[in-house]
Amino acid sequence: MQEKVSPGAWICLIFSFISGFSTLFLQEAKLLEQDVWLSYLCGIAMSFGVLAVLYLAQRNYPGLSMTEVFDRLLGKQIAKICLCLYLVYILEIQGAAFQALTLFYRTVVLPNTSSGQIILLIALTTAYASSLGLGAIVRTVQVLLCFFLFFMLVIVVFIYKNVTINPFLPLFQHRAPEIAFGGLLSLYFPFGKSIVFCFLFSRVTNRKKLLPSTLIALSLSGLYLFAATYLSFGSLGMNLVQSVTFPFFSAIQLVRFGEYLERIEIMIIGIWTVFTLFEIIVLQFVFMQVFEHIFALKHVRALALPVGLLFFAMSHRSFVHQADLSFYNFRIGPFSTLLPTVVIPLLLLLISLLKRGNRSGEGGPLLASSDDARRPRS
Amino acid sequence: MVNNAVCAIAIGYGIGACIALQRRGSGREGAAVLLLCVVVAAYCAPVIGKSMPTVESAYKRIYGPISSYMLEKLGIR
Amino acid sequence: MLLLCLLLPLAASCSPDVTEISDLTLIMAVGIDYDEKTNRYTLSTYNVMPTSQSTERSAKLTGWVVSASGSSLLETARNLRGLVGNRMIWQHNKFALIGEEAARHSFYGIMDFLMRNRQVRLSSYLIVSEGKASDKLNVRSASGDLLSNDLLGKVRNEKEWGKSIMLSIQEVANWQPDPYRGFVTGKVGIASLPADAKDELSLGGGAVFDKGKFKQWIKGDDVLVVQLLSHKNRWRNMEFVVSVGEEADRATLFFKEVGQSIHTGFRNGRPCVDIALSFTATMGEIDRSLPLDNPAEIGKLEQSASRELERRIDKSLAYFQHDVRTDVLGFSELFAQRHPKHWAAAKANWEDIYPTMPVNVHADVKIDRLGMIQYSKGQSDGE
Repeated sequence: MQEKVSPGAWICLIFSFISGFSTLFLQEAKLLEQDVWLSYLCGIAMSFGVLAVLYLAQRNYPGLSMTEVFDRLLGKQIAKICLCLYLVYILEIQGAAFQALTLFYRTVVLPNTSSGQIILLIALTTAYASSLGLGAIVRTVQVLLCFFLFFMLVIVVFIYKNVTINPFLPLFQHRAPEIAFGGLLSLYFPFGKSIVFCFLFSRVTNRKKLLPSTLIALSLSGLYLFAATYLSFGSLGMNLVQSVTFPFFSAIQLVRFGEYLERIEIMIIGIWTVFTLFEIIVLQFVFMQVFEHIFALKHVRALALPVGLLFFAMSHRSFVHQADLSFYNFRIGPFSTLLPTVVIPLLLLLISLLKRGNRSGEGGPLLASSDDARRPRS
Repeated sequence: MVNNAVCAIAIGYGIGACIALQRRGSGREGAAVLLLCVVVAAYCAPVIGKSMPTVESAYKRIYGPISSYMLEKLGIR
Repeated sequence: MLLLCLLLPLAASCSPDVTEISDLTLIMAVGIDYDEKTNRYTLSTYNVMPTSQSTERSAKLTGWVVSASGSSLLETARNLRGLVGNRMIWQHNKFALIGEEAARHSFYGIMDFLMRNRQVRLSSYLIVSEGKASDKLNVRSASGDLLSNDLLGKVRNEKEWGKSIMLSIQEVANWQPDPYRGFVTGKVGIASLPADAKDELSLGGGAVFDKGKFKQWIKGDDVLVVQLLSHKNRWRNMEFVVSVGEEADRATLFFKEVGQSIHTGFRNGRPCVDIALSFTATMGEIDRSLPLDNPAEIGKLEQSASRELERRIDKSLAYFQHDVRTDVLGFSELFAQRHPKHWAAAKANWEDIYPTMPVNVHADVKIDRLGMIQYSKGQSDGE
């Protein structure tokens, strides 16, 4: 029997998924500076909109998982192709995530360790974690989130002491196209990644609270990202944020307790790393679920290690240079994300509305949907 | 060295798991595991691995021109 | 499981980045010099061995200095490896002393090196040395303490003096690329102690940077004004001393800034700045007996103190505008934040506008404490 997730746990899971990596590069903040909050709002709104669209598409098929809804709406063959696109999307996101984490560790902590070793270690860890099931993942998130929030709160209070300017003044200094592109950047990373949670909709216990919980999670992630950006700009300065590779990390490096107690960031790195791993664990878990559906498999545990090694192999061959990652995140990612995060969900909604319209025209929409609900899930 | 080790492990695990799952009556799972392991081995193989396409390289080719055009139109550097 | 275990030897715990503490040498201060004629850098480091012994034992630590030279800073830093028997780490480095010539001719490269190096902390202090920086590292403090501890104590004393200033690498790195403003960082020199003619490192005055290069020195009185007009973090806990009045009628007070308001505006298209500062004061010393129990007398003293502070601040501001000709206080940032449209029009001519920009200062002083004595009873009877 599949484990279910409560709405509260759902919020924790989405928050952890988005917030792990979101503060690493602050790329849209470097583009938009004091107007970056507009791009965050756009990213949150668009992500929530997409998830709401998918929820509405699935609502007509209660009791079915999203992959089954794909089958119903698009037909089995086209659904498989679309789901394969989502597998490719997950490979894209995880490749960038692996290399970002590896880059961070090799730049800051372990400069003489090969990227292959670090990626392999991450892949093995996340493969094991994803094989434990959604229940174990969610429970771990809920336990660790307390520590994460506690440490972050302490750090935020101490970084705030170093803030010397209001970094969000003067307002509205950027052109509309720049803000629109910033919104697209925010959609690609970090908010649009939450699209993978559509494949876990059927796991939430209280379906009525699913959308409000999702909105709360996205908003809290946005608030955390906003706070990190504010503190980075305010304590480092606008010019320095443009130069440094990891702005929020550099802001944390300035935190000092008294005169001698420094290098607090070492503790933060530990807990932050765990949260970045949650993103990869969830991606692996969803990858296995979608893969299972495409190939009509019954058991997925055997796939845990091969999927982990696949993630390793793809990541190790991608983004070989640091500049590749920056280039991709800024120039390619915002456009490649549109197909899985906007086009396909809108297509699904459109087809579901058309099908609903056809059924109501034929005079038996309610009967049809209840028949679908009674059909057992594979 | 890491790549070579993973390549070898993937081939060994793929074949072993496939056989074990076939014996248990999970033929589809065995084939899926073998497929994944073959892909992993291909990416980790010494010579051919570097020339295998990745999502990054494929998307750069597909979306690169679109991105350049859009960024030029938007006036963003 | 077995296969997983087989893969673990390749995991990161066997990383070559693991280092034992007994193999380390801690760099506590670094001095960077540059010879423009030969285009060579000299890097000197003040080093200490880490100890796992008690704090009593650690007081007996001695530091030693090594120097090397090379054509680039990174090459020079690596050349030090042949002179030190342990692995050198920079994470505990608190001070970067930049020689005067290096600050004038090679500051961009120095900042790039300091910021790009993962071990150098952005919270380290950056000071410009009169003459060569390597000379300063070889000075032994009169107290016998480690040089880095001695300098750290002098930085701490800034709060009680105000005539020296210390910027971190983060602050310097943020202001260095700004084409419209400069900044003032610390100055270190050598002073001879009269008692036993021993040399001592002295922090006092400041080094002005403009457009990413060292421009000139300024005196301690001007540094005090920079502190008073900086962000609250600088002056919040600072106490400084100013004498008010003429000889034989002089009172010296302790001042603490409690409020600051810098109002920027454009009048007839020209930028102007109005500064209002509030201070509390404590009586420190007076040259003659004064009826300090009389509120009117206190009022007169407060007015004199206010005028004196305004005079000093005006004098320093005029010096920054007309002589130094560098916006060391960051007025350009305030204009950019508060009046973006006007600033967009004015910034192209900022170099001409700044020296002639009217800056009005108003200081308000309240004497709230008189010290451990109020007045001498015999003298007041005589009065």
